[in-house]
Amino acid sequence: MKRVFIFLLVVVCQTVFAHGPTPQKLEQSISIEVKAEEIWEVIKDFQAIANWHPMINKMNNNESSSERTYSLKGKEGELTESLDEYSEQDLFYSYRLLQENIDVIPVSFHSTKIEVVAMENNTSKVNWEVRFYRADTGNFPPEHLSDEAAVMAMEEFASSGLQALKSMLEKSK
Amino acid sequence: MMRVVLLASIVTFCCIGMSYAQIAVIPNQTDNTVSIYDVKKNKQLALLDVPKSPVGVAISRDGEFAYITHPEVGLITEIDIKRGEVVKEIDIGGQPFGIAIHEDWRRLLFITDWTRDALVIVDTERGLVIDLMAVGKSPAGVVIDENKKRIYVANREDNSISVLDLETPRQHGLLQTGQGPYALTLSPDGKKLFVASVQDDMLIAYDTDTLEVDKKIKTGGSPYAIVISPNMKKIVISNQREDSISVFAYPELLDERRINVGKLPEAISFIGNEKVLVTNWFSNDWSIVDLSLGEELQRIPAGEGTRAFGSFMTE
Repeated sequence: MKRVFIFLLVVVCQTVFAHGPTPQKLEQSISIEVKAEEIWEVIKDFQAIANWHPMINKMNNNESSSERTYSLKGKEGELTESLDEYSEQDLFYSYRLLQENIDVIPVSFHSTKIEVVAMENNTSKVNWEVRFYRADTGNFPPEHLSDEAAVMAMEEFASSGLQALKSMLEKSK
Repeated sequence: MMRVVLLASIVTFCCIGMSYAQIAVIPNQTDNTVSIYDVKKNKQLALLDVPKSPVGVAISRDGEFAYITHPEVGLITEIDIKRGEVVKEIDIGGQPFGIAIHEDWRRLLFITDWTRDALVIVDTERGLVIDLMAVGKSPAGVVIDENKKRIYVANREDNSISVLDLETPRQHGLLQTGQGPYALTLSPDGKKLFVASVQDDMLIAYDTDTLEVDKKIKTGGSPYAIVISPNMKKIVISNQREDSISVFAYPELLDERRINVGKLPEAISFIGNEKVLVTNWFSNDWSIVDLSLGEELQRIPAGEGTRAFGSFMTE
């Protein structure tokens, strides 16, 4: 019986490691046929991601304007993120995962940059770049906590956000 | 003009006793390759296939061998730099990450193990783990002070530095750091130890005689590497989150300038006293930067996830 307990303890420890040595990257962008400032207007409030991202269920914002807490549709639990860089002039901000919840998104850490770039003919591009670590940073992660699971979840989150921005803004033209 | 610059750089190279080419050995983590690059000739000498996810690097004193950590598969590879070949694989298990070399009558590797919270000591000739010392949680950077016979290990998740004895398994002390200490550097004269913490953007200098904090300054966003020029005039830190490097005057630590590089820069190495090479993990390239001009001179394409944790250039 004792041996079983020790084994369980080891397994639990393996899954709560914060960061690991091997980060993954994600790079997505979308072009939207509106001016850069119009896109920025929608996304600029860090605590108002629920206004445009379709996967967000509920915001539960902190008092500090540089932090946000939210839950995702169909998932139990919350994620907390905090703002690192913010430039109204260059139309970008970056933030990091402050409190992970691998039941919501199977990553132990991420830092993300979202940037709006003005292109020709009143068209703009939104770039979404992420550096992140899988949920279980040990060398033998189960499938649902692996690099593949992390990549899939982060891709879904980025692409659904970008797609929603595009349809929202191009429709309202 | 060009000729003058060229001449000046040759003089600089000679002055710091560089008898042969300066070679960079840089892992490309996602590609599972290692680039061997002649910095002076601006030429790639070899691109080696290696085991999964190479990250950490250390180079032997004679400049002939590079040792690479592979955290995902618990391996160390030994590379013959001149031949451009992996000549040995050492299976040490765990998640080997940071790496430093100590050479006396034999060549030893001191490797941080991220998940075992240990410093693993490997005899390169026999290809064996000969000792394992306990350190703090999730150790990252490791440096060796040859004069004082000490080892310093940055414990990333414990916000501390373990100070260990080089010759006996003994701990001298435990230093408190900022949040998330990652990279460590000793000044060329061994008098100061620098640590940068990536979560609260701090650089702390410790006096290596007293192990007391000497100076503490705020850095740019996410400082992932610290290097000091051979002539001890400049200290350069990568600001990973800001796609830039910061140049400080040494030893005053006055913030002189910030220079933009590629995306998510990590490792840095000096080329002489006025230039650095920076690896940009996200944009898969390297920046050659002139610190006096405050300009990126060149962007060199590299492999996916290019990232060299440690001292990655021959002297």
